[in-house]
Amino acid sequence: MSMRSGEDKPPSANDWAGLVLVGQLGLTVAIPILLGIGAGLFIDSKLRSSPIATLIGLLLGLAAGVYGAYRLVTSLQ
Amino acid sequence: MLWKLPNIVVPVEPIFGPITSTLLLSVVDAILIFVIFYLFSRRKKVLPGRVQGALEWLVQSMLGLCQDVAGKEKGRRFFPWVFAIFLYVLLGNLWEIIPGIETFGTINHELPGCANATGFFLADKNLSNCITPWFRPPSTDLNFTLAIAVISVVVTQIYGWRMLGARAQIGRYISLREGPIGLFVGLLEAILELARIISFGFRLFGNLFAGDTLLLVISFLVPFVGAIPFYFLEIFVGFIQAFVFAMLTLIFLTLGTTSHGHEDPEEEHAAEVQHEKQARLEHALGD
Repeated sequence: MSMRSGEDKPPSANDWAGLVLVGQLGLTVAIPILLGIGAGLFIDSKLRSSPIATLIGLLLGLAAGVYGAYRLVTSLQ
Repeated sequence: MLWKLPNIVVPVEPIFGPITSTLLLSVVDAILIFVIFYLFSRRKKVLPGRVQGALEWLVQSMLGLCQDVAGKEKGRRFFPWVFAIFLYVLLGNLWEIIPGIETFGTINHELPGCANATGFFLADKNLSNCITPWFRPPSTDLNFTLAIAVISVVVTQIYGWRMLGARAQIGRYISLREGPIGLFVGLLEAILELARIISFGFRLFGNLFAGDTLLLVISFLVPFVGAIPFYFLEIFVGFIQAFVFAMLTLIFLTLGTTSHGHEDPEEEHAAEVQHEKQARLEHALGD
């Protein structure tokens, strides 16, 4: 997908797609982290293993967020 | 002060049995879309009238968008889903710009100060926040937005399954070929799918619930005139959010039906060189 449009060209469909994807970027990073922490807290409360599962969830969420952002950005090219 | 601040609640209240105010309007939405497009497709004219022209423009520009993003053949296959989601979400959003839509409803006697409220139209300004509305814009209900988000993600899975095959689709999440790193990446992919449902659902819900609440509160602070600029803002937001939802569905459908092979840069480069050679050859032959 190309993000560059000429000076006199109207924005193309792929420019719109790029714009929408950039809007998605923030949530792609944030939500997996919250999801990981939430799942970790739930597991910890069930198994009474605090804070191991929460930390694992946080790290997994972080990794998923970074990976998701990377996937989104590379899909723009 | 003309009225009291409306009773703003996040979960929707049922108005009749299990039927909620948002469910009512979402069903009305579906019927409205069906009726408009049924009438339009039954009485097609060669020279389109105003309504037919507008609808044809809408369909054509959306189809063009799908084909630009996903490619000609895929774009045509994805178009019905993308367009249906766009229209449904758009109508679901735009209910909120009907002024006073949430002032029709039944009296909720359980609210503070509303025990003795009576009357169909509440002329008494002290009781003006005792209403449980019959009509509430569907997108201000998390059930509605999450349901469409789930549909969007499930459709992506089904298309991936059908167009790439079962092996490639399962291999996306459980891949033993690249060792432990492949397994880990597969796990991340699965987390991302789940996160996508949440991000789709909460974005739409957050934007529209905030907009709806904004209109209610501004109407309370500055009655009649205060909300006018915000109505224009909400038309804009409603349109943008519907477009974003449809566009993201389209993009993830496209990504979900593209095999992992395209991520190999060498292979891609080789294909590009081959394509360039072909083009040059054709050009030379043409001359």
